[in-house]
Amino acid sequence: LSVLQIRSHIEKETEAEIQNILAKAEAEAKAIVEDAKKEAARLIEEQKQKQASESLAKERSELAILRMNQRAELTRMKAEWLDRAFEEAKQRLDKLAENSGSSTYRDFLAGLVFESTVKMRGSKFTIQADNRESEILKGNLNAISKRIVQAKGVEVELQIETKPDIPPGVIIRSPDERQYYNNTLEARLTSVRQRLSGQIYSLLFKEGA
Amino acid sequence: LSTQIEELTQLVEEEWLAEERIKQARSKAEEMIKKAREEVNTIMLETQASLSSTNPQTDRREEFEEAKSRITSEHQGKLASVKKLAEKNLDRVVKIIVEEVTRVES
Repeated sequence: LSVLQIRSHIEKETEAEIQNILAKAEAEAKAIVEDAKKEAARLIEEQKQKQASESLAKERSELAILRMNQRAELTRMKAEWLDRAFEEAKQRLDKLAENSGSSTYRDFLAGLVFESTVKMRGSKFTIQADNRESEILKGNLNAISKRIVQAKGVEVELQIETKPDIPPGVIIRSPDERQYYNNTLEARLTSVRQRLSGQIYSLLFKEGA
Repeated sequence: LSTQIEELTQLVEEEWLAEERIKQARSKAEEMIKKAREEVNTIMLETQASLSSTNPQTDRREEFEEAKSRITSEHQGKLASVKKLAEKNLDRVVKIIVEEVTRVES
């Protein structure tokens, strides 16, 4: 080989080596940047998915809490209406008791005594009532006794005890205090509420009633 | 002989120049990789910034607010309807309670 040929060969080899180095570097640099861009896009997408999922869970939870609060509010509202119905009933009963001089109320009081004593054992009973009602009962005691005797089939002895702090209605006691029958309007209202709350509740919110 | 020595010297010089050019190419290649890595750093920093900044999903939020508003409106309607029913039935129910309380066994 001549010197010239050797120089030309060196020149060619060098140029090829340089092009190879640069091409590899360019490809590697491009790949590094592309990979980074892909990774960045993947991270952003992942973050978006995560945010969307968290956001959806949060919204569902908020809506569930909202519905739960609404149900609680509705239940509270219905309970308030039920309270109101019993409160109004109490007011009407109080008015009825205020008008204790009427024959209707007199019969009702007699009915309360009759109902209580018939359900109780024995033949001696103390009827506790407030001043006004004690007076009404005193005037009607014989008639009441007769009814009880007829129902129980035994002679009965009724005694009236005035107790000013007793609510409208009567409380019947046996002489030994072992039997006690609270037949005041207050107790009867409580009993009705315990027995019929569900039914009253349904009627109160019944459509087309 | 002197001509041969001169030619050999030129060849050695040529080899040395070639080595230098290759060194420069390698250096340039390293620089390219370095720049690429810097670009990667920038991309990742920007990505991190983008990730840490909250990205409120306006569309979803609007959809949610609509659902919330609809549920609230339905609930208000339900409350109003229950109130109306209760108002309508109250007197009848109170009468039933009073009847039950005053109904004595005879």
